[in-house]
Amino acid sequence: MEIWQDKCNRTPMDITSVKTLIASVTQTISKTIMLGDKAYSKSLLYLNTLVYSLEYAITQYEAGNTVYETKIQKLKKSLQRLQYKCEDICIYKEKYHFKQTNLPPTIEDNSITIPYTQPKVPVDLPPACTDRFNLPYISKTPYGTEKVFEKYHFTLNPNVDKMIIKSIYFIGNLGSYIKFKGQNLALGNNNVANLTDLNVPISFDEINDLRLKMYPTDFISPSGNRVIDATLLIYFTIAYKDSLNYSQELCLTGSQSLYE
Amino acid sequence: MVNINSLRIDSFAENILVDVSTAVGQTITSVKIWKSDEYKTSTFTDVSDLLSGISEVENFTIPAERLGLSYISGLYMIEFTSDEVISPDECCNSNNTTGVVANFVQYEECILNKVLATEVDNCNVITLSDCENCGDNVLYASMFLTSLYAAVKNGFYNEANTLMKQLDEMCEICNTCPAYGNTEIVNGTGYGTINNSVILV
Repeated sequence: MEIWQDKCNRTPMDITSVKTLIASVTQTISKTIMLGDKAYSKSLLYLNTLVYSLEYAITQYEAGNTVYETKIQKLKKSLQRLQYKCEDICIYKEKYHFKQTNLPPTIEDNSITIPYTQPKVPVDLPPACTDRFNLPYISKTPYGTEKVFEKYHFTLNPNVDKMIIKSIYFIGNLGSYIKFKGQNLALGNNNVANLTDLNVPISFDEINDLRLKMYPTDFISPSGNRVIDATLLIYFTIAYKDSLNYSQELCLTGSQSLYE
Repeated sequence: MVNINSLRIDSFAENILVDVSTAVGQTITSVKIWKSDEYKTSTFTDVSDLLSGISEVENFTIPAERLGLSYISGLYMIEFTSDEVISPDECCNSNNTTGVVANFVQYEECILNKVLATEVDNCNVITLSDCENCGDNVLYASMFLTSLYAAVKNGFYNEANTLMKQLDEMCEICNTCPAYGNTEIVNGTGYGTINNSVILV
């Protein structure tokens, strides 16, 4: 098409096509570096399309078109399913930060570390997050003793619909006082606790089982040194619905000593 | 020299808003609109009657009805010509300028609808009923739309036409005419021309 050719016979298309080619190659290389052999995974393409459509729907919603609210909810659910059920997406998600949206309420990942020494009586920790009305979404009350890793008791607001135990970290001190980290263990869907009432004790028996699977010789590090002290870090993801019924996630971290 | 100060489709896609100017003492004399795939053919809409012709600056609105539409969608080229006399051997000056407007909301809606007609089941994208091949089509449609934005941005208008034809087919715009509605144009779903530069608006 000739519209951008001027009387000096300059052809800007030639320049832009070179730029486009370079940009395209650069993008492909970047993507391949970032994703390795997963760059052409269909699930990633679908993820990209979902994110794209979500951003469009959010833009429409923010422009005052409220009919997009249900569409946003459905897209977010699809995204969540994809994130938790696809290995490719999990790998991808670790390396890629999704664009944050402005949908109310805006929740940032938050982290709480339960004190090393657990109180014997329940104590309300500061709320992990507050909504736009400054009300807490969740408060956490730990139970247990200093030595025995038992259970945490979560007090959840009515909108919390499930809890996902996402991963376990295991940090130990070796005899030589060198710290090591256990591998991050991503748990499957069996660890999703569907909550039916507001105060549901979360059992950690399963976590202990999994810990033993990770270290079947019971606190012998991979290098053969005996672990004399260990702390189990547990990463929780709380899936909940906010006041507008949007599904949100909140990452919490808990830790407790396994040994005195 | 004609300068397109601002050329864009309004939020409800009912009008094209025009703000153009030419050299002092000159006037804009002609405005022609083409659909992108008919550009420079004899099939254009002449809206020169909307010009006031009283000064070098023109501010006016082109209603969708003048294009035979109720909702402006797709890619359009608009050529403005002034009465400035340009000598034949004069380099790098012209008495006409062409601008671009585009509204791609219907493609965005199409992709959104297709995505909503799919579900994730154990990492597999499955298609719900009444939308055969949505799972695959949505990936292609999304890629075509991304390419379309890139094509317009970089001035590849022939490629843009090809991509729009593909999208029209995929979104069945020419066949079953699904109701994508008169969706409001939101930021980033169309193109306009500001200070003679085609930009995403």
